[in-house]
Amino acid sequence: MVHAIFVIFGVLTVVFVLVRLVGDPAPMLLPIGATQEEIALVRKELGVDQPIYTQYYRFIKKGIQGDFGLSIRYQQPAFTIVIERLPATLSLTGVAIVFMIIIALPLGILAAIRKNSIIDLLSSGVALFGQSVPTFWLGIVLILLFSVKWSVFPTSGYRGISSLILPGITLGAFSASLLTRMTRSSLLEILNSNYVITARAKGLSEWVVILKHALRNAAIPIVTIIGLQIGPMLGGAIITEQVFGFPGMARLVVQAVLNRDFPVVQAFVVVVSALIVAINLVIDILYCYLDPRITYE
Amino acid sequence: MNELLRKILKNKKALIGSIIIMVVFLAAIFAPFISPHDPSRQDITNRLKPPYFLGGESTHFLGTDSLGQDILSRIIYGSRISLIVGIASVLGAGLIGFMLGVIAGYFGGRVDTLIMRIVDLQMAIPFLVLAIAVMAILQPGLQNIIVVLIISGWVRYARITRAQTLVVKKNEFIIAAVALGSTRLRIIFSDLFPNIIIPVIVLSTLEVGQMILTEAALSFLGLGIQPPTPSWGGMVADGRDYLRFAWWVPTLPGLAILITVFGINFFGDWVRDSFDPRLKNL
Repeated sequence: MVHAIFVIFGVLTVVFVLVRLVGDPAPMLLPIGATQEEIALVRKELGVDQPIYTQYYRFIKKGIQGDFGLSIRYQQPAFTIVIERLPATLSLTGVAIVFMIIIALPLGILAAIRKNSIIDLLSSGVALFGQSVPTFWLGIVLILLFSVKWSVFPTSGYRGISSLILPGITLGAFSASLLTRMTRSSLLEILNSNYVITARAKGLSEWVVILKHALRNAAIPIVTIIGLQIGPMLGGAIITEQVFGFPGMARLVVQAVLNRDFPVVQAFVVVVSALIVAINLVIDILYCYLDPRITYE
Repeated sequence: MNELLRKILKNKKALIGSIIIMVVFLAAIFAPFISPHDPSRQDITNRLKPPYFLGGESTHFLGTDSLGQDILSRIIYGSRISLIVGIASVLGAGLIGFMLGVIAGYFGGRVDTLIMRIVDLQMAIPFLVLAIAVMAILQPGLQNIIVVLIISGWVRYARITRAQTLVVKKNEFIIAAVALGSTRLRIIFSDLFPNIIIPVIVLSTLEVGQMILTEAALSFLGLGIQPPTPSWGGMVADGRDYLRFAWWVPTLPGLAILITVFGINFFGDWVRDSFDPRLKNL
């Protein structure tokens, strides 16, 4: 918990430093040709005429409350704009996680059981493809095949579950490849351990040995990888949402960067980091459930 | 050297990977001699021409884009950007991460805490999110892309180097070197380095592909290399609007990225397996 607070505090500091590196925000808010008096007035309003430590204190205080100021483009609180679009991004990430698990777990398990078989070769092929394919290109190819050619799924937008399938596959492909590799290698290690040999010696069927004895113990690294992938997925959503015209917060941030709408960029970075910290906490709790030997003081 | 060549020739993964990497390298170096056209020359009368294998002309083997620019020539020139960014950012991030990892692991104490706290913090911000946030401040362009990738990418090297340093520094030969009165710098450079460098080399090989993918993604989003300089990610973005009636325009440059990164990853896998099989999850 202390670690989580430290990270959020640190992320706020990083965001503060990044924004101060940009320079004076006042001229950006005003039309070209604004007078010195107008600039001074806006500086006073924003509080950038104060000493840096006062600015930092105010920023942290407001940031903890989710106040990052008004979006330069929308003239609404930046935090609210980001939060409004959070459910769309989360549903996209959710579909990507489901896709990742559905593809990677069976493929990884089969590859471990039938080591050096065609399935194993296929799984390494899928894993290598997933790690090498550019996300945005995969999205475009999927649109070309499933939307333009065969009209199975919509090309873009956010209208129900069918509009989540292609973006979900696109977003989940990279992580699915990692998870396939990880499942295969951790299961392979466990299949050679003594308790698995004992379980086999007792005459249990191979599937019981694998699903009940081996997989339970391979769960920790697998869950770790799933948890670790959620962060990169939230990052990857930036590209996926752009390709599919998906109205999530990640697409918003690309527009914000291009428009130099810093309050929105700040709010986005903090929201994403807070989500990742929360997910890591959940995974830590999940460890205790998966492996009762793990306890936290 | 001969032995290394023999090892590569013996292994299918290494062979396929090195052939792909070699072809991309040669294309990048000899781009002006092998490109059939000037990559930036626009020819509006010849726009969106299909590739030769789809019934197009042999003068534009992979067709032309919306401005009538030759796609093959742009792909050949685009390899330069990908390779420069991939290699420079890995070298920069690797060097900084490696140095800080050694300092954290070897000296410990407050320096270690400080460096690892920064690492922890950065790990909470996804790579692409951080890259985009930094890109919001810097202007798009080749140099800045490399800077962004170095800033976003050094932490993985720092973590792995620190872990490795912590293990190696407990070995007897290091303790002996201390007892013999070697200076810290000498111990770090001549005793520590050779024993911790392998995982860093392995990670670097695997990271080149990821850096190329990130550069392509940033260029695709319009935050990376700006036109008219040909970059593979930018070409995919430019061709996106023509997907319905000229699918080859965004698809072929993407295929170039896929094949290149595939080759690098194939080679990287071999490097990992042959140098240190314990790193299989890297």
